[in-house]
Parts: sequence; structure tokens; C-alpha cells
Amino acid sequence: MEEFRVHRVRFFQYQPNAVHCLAYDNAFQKLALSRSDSSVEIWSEKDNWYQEKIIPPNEGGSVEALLWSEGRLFSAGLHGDLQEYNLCTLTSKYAVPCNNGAIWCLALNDERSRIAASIMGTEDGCVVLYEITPTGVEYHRTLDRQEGRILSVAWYDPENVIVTGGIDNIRIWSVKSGHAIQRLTMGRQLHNKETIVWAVAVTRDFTIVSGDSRGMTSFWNGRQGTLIKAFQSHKADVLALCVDAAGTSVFTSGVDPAVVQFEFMPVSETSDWSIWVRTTVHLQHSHDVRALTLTETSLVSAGVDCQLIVNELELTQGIRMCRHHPPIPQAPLVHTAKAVKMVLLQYATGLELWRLGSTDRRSEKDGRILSLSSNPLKLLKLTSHHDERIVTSAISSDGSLIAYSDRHCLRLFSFVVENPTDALPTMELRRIRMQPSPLPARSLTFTEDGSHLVSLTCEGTVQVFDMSGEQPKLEATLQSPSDGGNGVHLLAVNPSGKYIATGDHSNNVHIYSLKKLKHDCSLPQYAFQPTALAFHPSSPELVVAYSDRRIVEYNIARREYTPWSRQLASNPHPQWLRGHSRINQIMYHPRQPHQFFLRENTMFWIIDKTQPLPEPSQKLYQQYRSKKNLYKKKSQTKHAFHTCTKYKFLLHLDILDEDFLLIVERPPLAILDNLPPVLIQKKFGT
Amino acid sequence: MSTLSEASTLCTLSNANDLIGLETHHSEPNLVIITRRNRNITVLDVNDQKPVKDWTAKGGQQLSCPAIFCPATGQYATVINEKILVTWNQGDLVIDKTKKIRLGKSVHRLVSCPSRCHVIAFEDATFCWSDKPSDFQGSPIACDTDSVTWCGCHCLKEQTYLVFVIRNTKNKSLLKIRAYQLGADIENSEVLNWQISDNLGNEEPLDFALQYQSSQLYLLILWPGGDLLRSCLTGTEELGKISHMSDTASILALDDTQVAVSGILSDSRQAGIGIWDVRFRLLISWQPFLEPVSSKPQLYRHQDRLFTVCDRRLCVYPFTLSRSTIGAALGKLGQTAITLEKSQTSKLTSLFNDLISPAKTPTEKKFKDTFAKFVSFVATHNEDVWHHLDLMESLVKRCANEKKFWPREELLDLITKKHLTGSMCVSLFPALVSHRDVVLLHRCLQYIEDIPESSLVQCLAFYVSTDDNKFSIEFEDSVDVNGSSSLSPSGTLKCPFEHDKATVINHLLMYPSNDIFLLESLRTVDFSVILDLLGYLFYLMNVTTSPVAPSEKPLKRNLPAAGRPSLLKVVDWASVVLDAHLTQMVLSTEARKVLVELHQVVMEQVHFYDELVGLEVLLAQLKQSRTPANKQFIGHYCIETLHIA
Repeated sequence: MEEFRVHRVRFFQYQPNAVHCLAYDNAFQKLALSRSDSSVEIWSEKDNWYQEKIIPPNEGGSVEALLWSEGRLFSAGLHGDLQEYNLCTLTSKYAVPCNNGAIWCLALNDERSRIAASIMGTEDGCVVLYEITPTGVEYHRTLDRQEGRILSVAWYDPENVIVTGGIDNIRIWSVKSGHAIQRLTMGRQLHNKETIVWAVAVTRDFTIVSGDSRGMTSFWNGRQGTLIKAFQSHKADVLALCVDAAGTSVFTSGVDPAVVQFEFMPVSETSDWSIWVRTTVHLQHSHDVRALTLTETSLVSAGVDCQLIVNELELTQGIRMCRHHPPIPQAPLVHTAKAVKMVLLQYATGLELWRLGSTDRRSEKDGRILSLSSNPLKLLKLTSHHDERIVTSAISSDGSLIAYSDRHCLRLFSFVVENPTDALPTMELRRIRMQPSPLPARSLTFTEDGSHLVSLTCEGTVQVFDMSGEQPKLEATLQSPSDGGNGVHLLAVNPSGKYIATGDHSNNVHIYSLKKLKHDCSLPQYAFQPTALAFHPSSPELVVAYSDRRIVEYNIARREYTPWSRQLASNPHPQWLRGHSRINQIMYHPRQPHQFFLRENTMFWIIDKTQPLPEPSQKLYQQYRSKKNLYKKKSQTKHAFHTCTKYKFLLHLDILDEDFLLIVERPPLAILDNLPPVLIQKKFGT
Repeated sequence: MSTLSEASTLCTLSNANDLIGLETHHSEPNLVIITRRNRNITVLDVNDQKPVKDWTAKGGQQLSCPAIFCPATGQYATVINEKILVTWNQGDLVIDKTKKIRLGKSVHRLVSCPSRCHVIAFEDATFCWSDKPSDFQGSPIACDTDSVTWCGCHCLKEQTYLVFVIRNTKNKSLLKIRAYQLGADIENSEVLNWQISDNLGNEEPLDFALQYQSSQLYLLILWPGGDLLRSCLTGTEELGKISHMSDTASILALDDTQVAVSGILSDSRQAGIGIWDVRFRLLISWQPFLEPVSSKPQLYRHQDRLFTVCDRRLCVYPFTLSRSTIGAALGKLGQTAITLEKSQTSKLTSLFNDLISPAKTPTEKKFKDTFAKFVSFVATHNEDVWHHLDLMESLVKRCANEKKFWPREELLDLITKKHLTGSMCVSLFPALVSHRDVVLLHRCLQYIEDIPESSLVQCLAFYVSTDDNKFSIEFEDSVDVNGSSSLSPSGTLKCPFEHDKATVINHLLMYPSNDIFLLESLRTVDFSVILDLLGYLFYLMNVTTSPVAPSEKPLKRNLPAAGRPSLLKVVDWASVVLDAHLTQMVLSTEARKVLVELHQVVMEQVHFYDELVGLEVLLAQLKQSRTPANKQFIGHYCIETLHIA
């Protein structure tokens, strides 16, 4: 259908961080995930596992445990503080010190009123109880100190006891008295090597499940303190363990990345005597699994290989559905200055500005690499102030303005290149101070002509800065017409500079008039969050992709969906809706506005509105090409959906002048290469 | 298309001539009445082959015609001792105690008439109704020399036809047919008399059948040899010849175009029963007899079943009838018997008959003249004759079987003009071998395609066992030996055969053949011949290195036999020869030397091919290393083309 010359950029060395812990909130269907850099991510299960928010890490912070209570998110770490997050501004609300040392583990009682924090200590450990109040967390009491660290903790409410796992033993504590009432001794694999209980959990019938450094999963009778059954389930430490609500199914995993399921099953169909048996083994992770959690329908596992794997518990049509969520953030990390062919790459604590290479060659053949007439050049490396985490960044179309925002403030720079085509151009970067200092931004964008900077603030408002004068001037602060308490995350500006569109986590899309500086209209509210927005290059139309992969096109002037959008909505393609990944980016072709481009993590689509929509029976693309189909001619029937699966993972896609496309990709193998080594396992033939 | 299903046994009989007749029970659909010579009358259910009723006549009485059931009166009837009519009811236990009527004349058969009581047909071609046994109708046969050979009836709803075929014992070429059209009442009977006289010869007709077509009654007459005549009041027509008839046969009309024939032979000469299409003159369906049949296999029909006696079994052949169409007939033409059209080419026929009859052309001169006449006549009038396989086959047989002289020129003429086909070689080759005619055999291999493997092997055995000098003498003038110079002995190895003989044998070895059939035929060949052949194959294997001979072009066999057979062909032949005589090879001491030598040369070849495999791998690697790398290195940045479908 179309032939492009692609700038295939692989020099963006984006490296995701290992996942340390997971916590799932049943009430709001949200998953909290912390990474090794102590950032916390919030994923929404009901929005098709959409990565909603990233809470930037504190300096020197650490997150070793996460906990949800009534929609409030708590975390604790090696710094010894228990802190709660403000999920709107994405900052820490407060921190309560435990005064005893590093916190290793958190547990919540059934009434969701108390938190038990296990204190690792240096030589001795203890359990500290906190009371959750509507405004914060209050210290309640400390249980008896014990010899050795405490690495895992679990509540058993019916008997008002706490179970802790430590070195060589599991202890059962009475909350009422604060004393240990029972001690379960672990065996040792080697005489001089202590057994560490990394994870404990308690089922409803007071069966204690423990995973330890021997790679064993053990089941204990909590009342009598006897071992029921122990499985050598893993070849190395069991780090994570979770029990389902009914208490009949247990999942464990760890340094040996196999996720093993145990089930409490009757010995025969008619028998009422049940035993624990090992059932399913999932081998999906390449590296250590650090955390496991169960949602209502699925098992979520994550670890050092940075990806999130969601396994459905029930079979659908005889297949256990499994989704891999690659560690690619939903928010854009790459911005383009189209007019000067520059790319701004956003790293965790710095920005890089690159000038793209060029070629005047063409080729009729697909996949041919063209010889370059000039090589790409790194023009600028900008490190953030105090190595703060960069939340968002932007570059103007002519490359003269660069803006970025961290947790605390928004910074603006002017950038001048003297002789841009030279091999070694001379450059000048100057910070532009803004008075009064603007709010930190969640998302930034310049208008096409560079006359305005639009910022989506952390408070959910839209700030418009006039950049035409000597000094940037705050023109207006636009309040969201709906309650922005959930946070706004998407921002788009009309190329003609007339409109601004925002999308928030409450499934709203608002349109503001940039000329009148006020709210203009809103799209009908949908059941899912918007994931990408884009304006039509010439006419007042907006295309929105939602997290369930629905696409709508809205005419702002007429206040209605366009006819094509209605046609698409009336016969959605089943294969399209079945797709797992969300649409991270959407854009119109600037010169052929009847086409628009959609970017997912592993592929991009071109949808041509002039072509007929595919019939439900037609395949959009061949997901798996079997050998038989390999030589089969592709079906000649043309439809509107065109796909390209050549690039993985796609971080950015842009349409430049002529027939040039810009694709920024991060190959999965490149991410894997930078990960720590895995547990060495003997495989056949090696 | 009509089909005949496999036979099953309805009941067993005491001997082959036990059955007097089988009649349909007109009131019950599945019942037949079987009358046996051992005075037994059985009513059988055809579906489950169970006897329903059973009566036996008293000792000393002889049942003389098949018992029938008359639906009008509800009574059974049969004839005892030729002249006594017996009728009895269903409930009667013994037939002796029932009503008996003594008739004045011998009864030929009883005919059940559905509309009225039954009809009694007498030996003198008269008949009477059973309710008026003394009221003879029709005119009796005038003279003593006449006799009724056959009597048949055809029952319609309102009318019954009763037909007598009368033959004069002196004038055998005359058949008198007397047909009565019987109406519902006695007065309405009508007599139709006609005669058939022409072209009957002295032979007795095999069987007769009645056929009713477009309100006209026809009599079908089957002659020995399969000729079928159809006769009616207005005249007689020939219905062609039923091919592959056995000596005894009977016939039954199934509908207006299809007849059932028992005693028809299959391709493997097995006798059986078939459905013959009169219109397209072909055999539609065929089933074998369950047992060999010695006497005349009389056919009976009841609804959609045919009955016949096979030895001591009464067999049932279920059949289905459908209209014969040209579409169904297509592809079955191989079984068609071709006869020359009399009216057009009677001269040709007589010439041909002269040619194939040893009596008409007893001497070589006469034969030659007739052959020349025939050839010239065919050339001017009807070239198609050459394509009539039957005719050509009979001509070849005549030539091959001729003891008094050897019509070599004529055969050569036939072979070189490609009038003969592969199948005729079966009869031709033994004659050629017995006349030791190497040239003609060679010509056959050159001109005739699809020679059966058995003939090939016969020819090969003859070649190998014939002295070398025979070849050289007879080949001087006739066989082109161009291009065979490559057969000259190579190195120390000497060819076991002379040059000409080797050329001829090479030609034969290159003839297309099938291993399976070769294997069968080779088993019959004498072991000494096999040893000689193996020796020659060993020699060929030694001198041949190329797996495919450049000159092996099977389609152009009429070209001079140049070169040797390919190595593959030689190896095929060697394998087949060894396979065919494996046991003897193991036991025989003479074979030992040639086997060891053969093993040696095969081993050498295997080594050679092993080397070739190594070379192939090496060359493949070289080729691979020479082709440019497909994979492009992308690196950190590139500009590439992308085509999106």
C-alpha cells in the first residue's frame, strides 16, 4: 500500500528496572508495582492492564513492601519509614518512621485496620503494628523482639495471631500478648547454611505455607505446629508466594523462575480427605521472580526480567490465556523536532538530543538498507538537576525550545544550533527562568508554531504559556470541568493551535479552546480510559484510542462522531478487539489525513479511512505463520487495516517529511542483555 | 446403469438336473414355487430363504412340469406323468388326494394367467384353459417331423401371449413360430404365425426369450457363438453378437434393451451371468457362477432377482435395472464385439474370412494372393479395418498357427506398418521363436508398443540361448548396426556375446517394462539362460559408467539401436533377474563365480557414488560460501525501506 524510508533508531538505550514487589487492590482492581529504582507504578486491570501512573522515586528511597488498604497505597523499605502516597499528585503524602530499622515486609489484617510491619534489624528483628486512621497511620505497639531477622509476615485474624518467617524458623505470635506462642523449626540443607524463610502465608484453616532458601515449599499445621507436607519445588530460593482467597491454591516462585501451583485436592473424587499436591508449572520468566499476586481472575508475576506476566486462572476455550506486558512505559519517552529532524530521548535522569542521519538514495526493494549521506549525531546530553527523575519532556518543532519537568519543577531551555548541517555544529543551550515558577508538569507539549507551551500540571489543570515574548508568560490556567481527582495523563494540541485536548483517568476527554482559553466541549464519557489522542492536521477532528482498543473520531465543530467513526463502531473487528496491547500513540498522516498511524508495543498499524473496513471473517494479520501458510499468497482483498510487525519494542513512531518515517525501537534482546545473570540450570545436552 | 449383485444360494438341490422349474407365486410377492424331479414342490420365501409350504408327490408318479399357482382360483396346479393335471389348495397336506384330470395329450407346460384360470400348453402346440380341459384350441402340428422345442408365455394385465417355437427335424433352417394372443375370454384368442428361415444353418438355437416392446411381442433367439436374433411378425433383425459366450447359454429379456445371459465368459474365461445391452451391444454387469456349471444354466426371473442352477445350488442374483444410456455405456467399449457391416463390405468379409480360414487358403501362394488382395482392397475402401483388434488378432493367430508355410513377408508387412498391437505379441512371439526369426522379433521390438513383459522375457530367453552366428548371418542385410561401436570390448573384459547379438539384446533391455511383471515371467526362464544373461549384465555394468545413456529415448524406438542401456536400467534388470531366481542362485555352484564378480562391480559402483556424495557436499559448501550474505547488519541506526502491504 505504502512505501517508506525508515529512520530505524536503536541508539536509545532505555533500560527498565527489575520489579521488586506487587500489591493488588481488589476493590479498585488496581495493581501497584515497585521497581528496583523505588518507583511505583499503578496498573488498572479493568482497563485492559493499562499502566496509569508512575510515582517517581524519592532520592535514596527504597520500596520493599507495598500494601493497599481501601484504595490507599502504603509502602515501606530499607529506610525504615512507612509512607502513604498521594495517588493524584503522585508524591509521598507522609512517612511514619518505625524507629527499629529496615522494614522488610508488610501485612494487613482482615479488617484492613492494622498493618504489621516486619522489621529486619541487624541482629534481631521485631514486628511493629500500626493503626490505620482516616488521615494517616499511627504507631500501635511492638511485639517482642526475637533473635535473628524477620523476613516475612502474615496475619491470621480468626485466632488473632501473626506468623513470621525468619532464619531457620517460623514463629507464631499472639497479637494480644505480644509474645511468641509457637516456633516451627526449619531443617537445613547444609549444616552450616541457615535456612531463610523468604515468604509465609496463612490459609483460612490455619495452614501456614512457607517458602525458603532451600527451594522448598512447606505446608504446616498452624495449631499444632507440625509439618504437613514439604515439596522441593524449586532449585533455588523461593522468594514469592501467594494464596488464593479460598485457601486451596498456592503459587510459589523465586530465583528458579518456574511458577509452581499447589492445590489442596481430595485424594479421590468421592473422598473428603484432601492433600496438597503440586499441579501446574509455568515457565515464562527468564529471570528471578520477585513477586506474585493474585487478582480475582488471574495470577500476576514479575521479577528481574522487568516484564509483567498475567496468567488467567480459568481456561477460556480450553486455553490458558497468558499476557506478557513488556516493560515499556505508556507515556512517551521520545519527542521529535520534525522541522530540523532532531530526536529528544528522555532517560531516567537526563535528556539526549540527536540529529538524525540523512540519505538521498531510494530502493524499490523492501528491507534494503540505504547508504547514509550523513550520520546521526548526538548534539546534547542534559542531566537533570540533582539527578531528579524526569517525569516528562518536550521539544518545539524547530528544536529551539526544550522543556522538561521533574517532581518539583518545570524547566525550560532555549537551544540554538549555529550551523546545523555541519559535522560538528556549534550549539548554545540557555535556561529560561520562568516567573512565577510553574507547577511541575505531568505532560508537556509545544504548539506547532512554537508560540505556546501547554503543560498538564500534577494538579490536573492545564497551564498555557505564551512563548512569543522575551519571557514566557503564563496565559491561563484551565480547570478541568470534571473532578480531576483521579489525575489527567493525556495532552494533545491542535496543529493549527486552536484546541487542546486532555484525557484523564476518569475516562473523560475534554477539549479546550486555545484562542478563548476556556473549556470548549467534552467527548461522551466512555467505560474505558483513553490511551492516545491526536488532532486532524487541518479539520477540527480528534481521534481517540481507548484502553479496550476502541477508536473514535470526533468532530469538534459539529459536536458529534464522524460518520467513519460510527461505521467503525457499528462493526468492530473481533481480531482487533482481541488484541492484548494498548495503543500507545496515535497520529494522522500530516499530508494524507485520511490515514492515521497507531503504535503498540510490538507493531504499528496504518488505518486508511478511504478503504473499506474489514469483514469480521477477514484476518487483519496472520498472527502465527505456519509453514503451510508461508508460501500461500496473501489474500488480495484490500481493507483499511494495514500492519507492520517488524519492529520490537516500539518506543516511538513519527512521520517526517517526504516519505520518511521515524521509528525508535528497543529490541527485547538488548534489554535482556543488560539484565543480571540467571540461575544456571543444567539443560539437556549442555 | 443396471447392476448385478453377488450371488447367494437360495437352496441346495440333490443334483444338477434336479430342478424342473421355478415359478412366481402370483399372489404373494416374495414367494416362488420350486418343482423338483424328486417329486417335491416347495414354496420358498426368497427374502429369508425359508420354505413356506412343501408337498411331495407319491412314489411312482413323475412331476413333468413346473407347478404353478393360479391367483384366480387360489389353487396350485401341476402335471403328473405328462398327462394328468393335478390341482390342490393351499391348505391341502397331500396332493394325491386332490382333484385330478386326465388330459388326452402330453403337456408341455402350464401357464398361469393372472386374469383367469391357467392355461395348459400341449406338446403339439395346442392349448386349453384349465376350466375347459377338453376344449383344445389352436391347430396341432401337422407332420411328425415337427416338434415344439420351446414354449414361452408373456403375461400382461389383460392379455397373455403364448408362443410355441416349432422346429422341423429335417429342414433345420426353418423355425415356425406360433403365437397366441389370449384375451380375457376364450373366443378372443388370436393366432400369429410366422417363420424364420434365412441364414440359420444347421445349428440348434441355444435359447429363446420373449420381449415385449412398444405393444409388440418379439422373440429373441440366441445362437451358438453368441449371435442374437430378434424376430416378430413383420420380420427378423440381427441384434449383433454377444461376445465371449460359452457353449451352453440361456437368455432372458429384462426390458426392451437389456437381456440377462447366463453362460457368458469373463476376461479370465470364467463363466458367469451377465446383463447384456442389446442397443449398445456391450456387457453392462457380470457376476461369476458360484460353482462350475456343466448343463445348460437355465435362467428364471422373479421380480428383481435372477435364478440359475449352479451345480447343486439354486443361486439368486439380485439386480437393479436402469435405462441404458450412452453415458453409462462409455468406457465399456472394450467388451464390445465388432463385426463387419455386412451390407457395405461383404467382399471384404469374404476376403478376410478366406484369409483367416486354413481351409480356404491352404497354400502359401493362395494365402499371399489373398493377403495382397485384402491389403489393396482395404487401402482403397476401408482403412479402419486395421484398427479392428479382433480381426487383426484372428489374422495374427492364423499366421502364427499355420504349420504348412511361414508367412514371413506378410507378418513383416503388418509389423512395419504398425497394424499390430502389444497384446497380439502373446500369440505372435511363440511362433516367431519357434521359427527362430530374430529379425522379425527385432522388428516387433522396434515397431510395436506396449509389448507384454511375458513376451519380452520369452524373446530375451530366445536371444540369449541362440548362437551368436545366427545373429550375424541374419543381420547382415536387415539390422542397422550404426552407433554400436561403443560396445567393443573394453580393456581386458570381453563381451560374452557377439556384437550383433549384444546390439539386439541391448535394444530389448532398453524396452520399457515393469519390474513386477518381469519378475513373474522371468521365473519361468531356464536357469542356464539366466546365468548367461547375468554374465552379460555384469559385463554391461562394468563398461557402463553413466547412469543415463544419452541415446535412451524410448519414444523413438524406430531409430537405429545405438548405444547401451543406461546403468540404472542394467541395475534394474540385474535386480529382477536375481530376485526371480534367488533360490537357484543360492544353490547352484555355477552361479557362484558370476555372483562374486557382480558383487565386486556393484561394490565399486557404490564406492564411486560415495565419492560423488562427498563431492556434492563439497560443492554445496562452496556454493553457499560464494553466495552473498542475506542478513544485513542494522546496528544502532540505519535508514531502510519499508513496504507495507
